[in-house]
Amino acid sequence: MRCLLIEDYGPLRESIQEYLRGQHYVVDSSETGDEGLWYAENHEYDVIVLDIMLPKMDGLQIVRRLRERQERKVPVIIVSARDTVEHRVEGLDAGADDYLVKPFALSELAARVRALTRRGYGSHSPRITVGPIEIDRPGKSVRCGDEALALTPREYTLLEYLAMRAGETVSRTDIWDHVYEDSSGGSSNNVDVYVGYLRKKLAAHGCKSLLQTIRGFGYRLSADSFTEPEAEPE
Amino acid sequence: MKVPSIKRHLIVGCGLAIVVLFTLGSVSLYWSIQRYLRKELDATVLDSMEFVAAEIEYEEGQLVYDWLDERQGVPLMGKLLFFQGWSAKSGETHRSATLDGQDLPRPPAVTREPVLLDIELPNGHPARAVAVEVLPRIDDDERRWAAEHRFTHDPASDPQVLLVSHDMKPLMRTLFRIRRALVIESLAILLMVGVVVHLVIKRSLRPLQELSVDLAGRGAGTIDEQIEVPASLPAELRPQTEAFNALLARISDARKRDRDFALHASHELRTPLAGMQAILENAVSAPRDPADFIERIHRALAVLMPLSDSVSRILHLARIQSGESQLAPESCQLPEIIGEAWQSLEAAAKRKRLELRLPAAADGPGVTTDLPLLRVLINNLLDNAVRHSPDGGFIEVTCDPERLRVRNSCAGISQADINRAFDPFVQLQPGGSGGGGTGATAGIGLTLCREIVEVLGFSLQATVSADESVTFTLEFRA
Repeated sequence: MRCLLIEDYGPLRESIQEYLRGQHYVVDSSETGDEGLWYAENHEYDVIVLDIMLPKMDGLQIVRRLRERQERKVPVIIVSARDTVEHRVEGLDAGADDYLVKPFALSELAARVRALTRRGYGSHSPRITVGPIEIDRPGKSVRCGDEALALTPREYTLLEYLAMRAGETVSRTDIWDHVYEDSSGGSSNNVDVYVGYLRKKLAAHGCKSLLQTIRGFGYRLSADSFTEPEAEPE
Repeated sequence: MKVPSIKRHLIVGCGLAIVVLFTLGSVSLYWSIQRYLRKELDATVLDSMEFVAAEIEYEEGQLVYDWLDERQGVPLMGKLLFFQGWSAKSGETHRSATLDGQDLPRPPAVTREPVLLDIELPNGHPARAVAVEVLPRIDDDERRWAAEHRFTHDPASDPQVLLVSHDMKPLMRTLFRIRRALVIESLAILLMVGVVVHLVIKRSLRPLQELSVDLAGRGAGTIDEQIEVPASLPAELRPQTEAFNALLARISDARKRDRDFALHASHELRTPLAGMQAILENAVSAPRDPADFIERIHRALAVLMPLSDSVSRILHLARIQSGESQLAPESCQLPEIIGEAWQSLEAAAKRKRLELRLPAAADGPGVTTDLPLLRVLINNLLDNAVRHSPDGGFIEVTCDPERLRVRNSCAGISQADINRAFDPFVQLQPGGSGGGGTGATAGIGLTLCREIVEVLGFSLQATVSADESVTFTLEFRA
């Protein structure tokens, strides 16, 4: 999942970024309003964490601009020191999906981010199940049948994104936009590399058939394509 | 202690005034009536005396009391008239039938001039009487008779003492009735005045009672709302209500100031607190080596230090605004204070490659004011300049004994924008990169400056120049 963080206070911005990355989010960050809006309008994000009082353009203006222009409504959570009911109503009325008053626990912010991204993909459960694969989003762990699947953060993020869109063919560009940070460099060819790593780990647990390559389009994670591996002859 | 009561005062005051006035009026009226009736009685007694005296005459040489002959046994002029005559020569006496054979007290010295006097009748009643010496009358028939019989009358040798009296019992009874009527009337009027005053006061004070109910029913959120003055409120109570409303307006202003201050202070602290909490939460979220822990603790401390300063400044300002502590004016050198304030901003200014022009420390102008607040003020002005100067811009600070100026490059700001900069939660949006200050005063740094300036009695103006710079001018005299 890819997240945009727009916060001008350095210590807070860096800490949120670090925490969300620890939760396997891909995080881009910006310290000014105009730069943040540029990121939001030119990249695909699963959630935006937004401060209100920002240099150059305030957070409420950013939300309004996004709601006016974007066809896909990216979930926005406002984090602000403005704590009155009027301020919260103003933020939500501007188009934000959630409002969190500073100071807050990072774990709460992460839970709200998870809830927003889940809703963004039409899911209401913190667990995603695709065939024998079960992803525990709060715990950031994956099980394949009865066995735990050990994944790197990048592989987890890739699998989580594909699982969120289970049954859909997801293009390399979409995967690139949602799984890779803007500053990470590289190209969408890297997607093939990580899909290869992921497929190999799935195959080790007999779930290789879950992840299909759709030639010319991208990849699809689907329970329909799952077939039980044949038992090896004794 | 007895609570003063308008109603009681009015009832007692009006009652006393009315009782005194009515008593004086009643006494005066009673006295007039009594005087009139007595005068009437005196006139009646005198008339009766003249009538009776005219009936003492000679008939064929003999002295007769004619009325006795004509009306023997019949009370003359009613039952209230009593009279008696005495012959001064023989002592012979004649009585009216009303005396029923009893004597009136004979007056001691009587002349021909009638004398009015009070006597007691034989029946014990008081009476008004007139005493006079009367000479028997000789009419024309008696003169003819005397001429025919060659008889000579000598009335002067036989004067008659006449006492005519009128029973005063009916008069006394009438006067008693008048007195009783006046007393009853006074009491009735007094009672009526009490009732009327009570009703008038009750009606007049009803709007006040409604106001009391309104005030008693107010909650914390409406405690300083203006009283709606009812149209029925008496004119006498309007000044008090208006004064109370003025007081409520002052209370409302003070509460708003407190709320705003709490809001500003809360905002001042929330963001750095969130930053520090996030750093520490990250630190304990995973096993780390000691060096990593130490580095994170240093980062938290770096947030804590300015936060601690902010708390001290806010508390200092709050205490002064609430009157809890007084301003403690001290003299100081402005360049020295500016230099101290700059130290905490130097790193941020270097990151933005800002050119700095500070006044020389030696022989700088001095100012006498509250030093901690002046430090906050200058620190916030410089922080604002660093935050809103574009990369590679400049900050120029000049000062003299009258004023301090902080000028910085700041493109894309209008005078209207800069005027709004003193409002809380307003972020300037200059053309530069911004966000380079300490981060601890975002949104309310200039608001705090304005509050401090008010407390210190200074004035602060911001102006935008054509060369794309902004100048904050702090005048040490408002």
